[in-house]
Amino acid sequence: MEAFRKGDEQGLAFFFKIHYRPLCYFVTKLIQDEVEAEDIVSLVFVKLWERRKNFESPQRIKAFLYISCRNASLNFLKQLKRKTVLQREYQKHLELVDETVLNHVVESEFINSLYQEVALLPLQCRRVFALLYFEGKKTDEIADTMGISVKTVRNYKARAIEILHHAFLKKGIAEALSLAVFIFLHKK
Amino acid sequence: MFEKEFNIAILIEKFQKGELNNAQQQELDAWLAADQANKNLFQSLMQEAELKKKLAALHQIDEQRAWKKIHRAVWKMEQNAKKAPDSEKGTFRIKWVKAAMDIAAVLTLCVLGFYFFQTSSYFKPNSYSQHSADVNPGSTGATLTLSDGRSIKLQDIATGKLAEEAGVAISKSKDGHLIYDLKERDALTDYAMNTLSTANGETYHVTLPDGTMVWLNAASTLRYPARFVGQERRVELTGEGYFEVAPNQAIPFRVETPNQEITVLGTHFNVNSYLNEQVEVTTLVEGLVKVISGKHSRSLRPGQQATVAQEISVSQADIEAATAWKNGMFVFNKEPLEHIMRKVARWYDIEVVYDGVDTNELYGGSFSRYENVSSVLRKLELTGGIHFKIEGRRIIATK
Repeated sequence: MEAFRKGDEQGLAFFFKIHYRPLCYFVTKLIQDEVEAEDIVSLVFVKLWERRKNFESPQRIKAFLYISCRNASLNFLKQLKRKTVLQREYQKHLELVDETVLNHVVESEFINSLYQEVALLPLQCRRVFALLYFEGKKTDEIADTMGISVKTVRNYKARAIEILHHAFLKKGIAEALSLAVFIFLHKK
Repeated sequence: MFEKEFNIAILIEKFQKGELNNAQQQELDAWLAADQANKNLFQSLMQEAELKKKLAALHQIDEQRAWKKIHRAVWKMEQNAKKAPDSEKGTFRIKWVKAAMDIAAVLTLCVLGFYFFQTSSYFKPNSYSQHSADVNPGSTGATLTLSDGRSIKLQDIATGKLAEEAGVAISKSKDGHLIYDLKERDALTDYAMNTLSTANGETYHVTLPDGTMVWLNAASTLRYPARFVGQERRVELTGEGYFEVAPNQAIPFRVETPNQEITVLGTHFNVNSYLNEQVEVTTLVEGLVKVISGKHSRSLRPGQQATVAQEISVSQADIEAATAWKNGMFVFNKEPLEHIMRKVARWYDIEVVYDGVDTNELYGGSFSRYENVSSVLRKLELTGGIHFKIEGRRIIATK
């Protein structure tokens, strides 16, 4: 925190790593445009850097980030000349119901707390986890895509299961693991 | 403003882990009861399929691209701030800029004039640049973060035992380095990850639980388990580290950096993987390593180095230059000025500004890292064509 205020860029990187993704998720939910969301959130981080001396705690920073993103999103929607049906609907909703924004905050933060676990996985391990969990790829496909051995892929899977805490994340890949073992035994 | 929402998200997470106490459960129930929309959200967050979709959406987000944009914007801001007559950052600047638009123009002229006036004195035949201040070199120091989140500043702490994790005693030795000592025989499956971090101007030496020694250069981070368990010994590095790996044929040692993975069988090698450098370089001194990055992999012989960017290219290494830092020296072998100054900046914890200088120009030389920055700069000046001026923690390079 101190380092950030003094102007150490690693301090900004620290807050960026924690908050960038959920903020993009949050803004995308508001404006339905991923590309624009990236720009909006990036600008907010630059703004944060400009004002770094004003913040006393990480909590204040987090609140600032979400509030700024929310305001920037509303501005964006207001300024849109040609709005898609979805965006128009959304804006109507936003103007009427503040609760929706609040719930988006809850959702973004919750999903991020799960994702932070995935972010803890070392690089290659994370890549394997993503291919397995998000893309449902099989062990040999993963080995092929990444140019590593099947044995290494299994090691990474095991490691991911060890590191991850959330039950359903572990289950998500463990299932694939046991299925592979089953097929293997079956083939014998 | 969103404090309540942040809290609800934490409560939902605790609920999923089964860690809610009574008060928290009541708080969550109250939120659920307040609005049907809240109940709907909660239910969707409890469904695995929904969660998976949302996690995937989060995973798709490209952090690197955004960070580059932000980094560039911040950098530009910092450059502009330096050019302003009053470079004092902070709340002063905001009021200052609004009020002094007209005066700024006049002042800028004055400042430029002043600079020009100063530089003319450099043309005197025997003058080296006047250094108004000097900067001390870096020193031994680092921050150790234990698995429970506790962080210890190693330079401030006394020698002796610091902590114990996963049956391993962590202590600081008399010569100022960190040692991990296996105390209990039985292997625990607990993953106690420790992080050793150096800031600009710091360097540290650690002996890992298997006997591997790692020297960390400035602005670097090494993340490793307090005890190595399983079929491999794996650590993560950002920045620069010199490794002397304890041999163990059965359990390979692996170093993971932002862009590559290095597999080692018991050797001495140097890894340079700073985020603000274009490439990562691994130099092998002794032994055998294999470098993997994405789909590419290459093996190295002693004396070779692997340069990792989009692909891996192997070339003959200047071992002395690559590992000089560990022996307390800077050795530059026909390197671009900018590259040299970045290394100097990390060790002395300073920033460098270039004023009309070709940053790609090649320089060479070798100097001790433990001299003040003025001696290093003076030696570079001797090669001709460049002058340095020290202003507090800022170095200005001019012709």
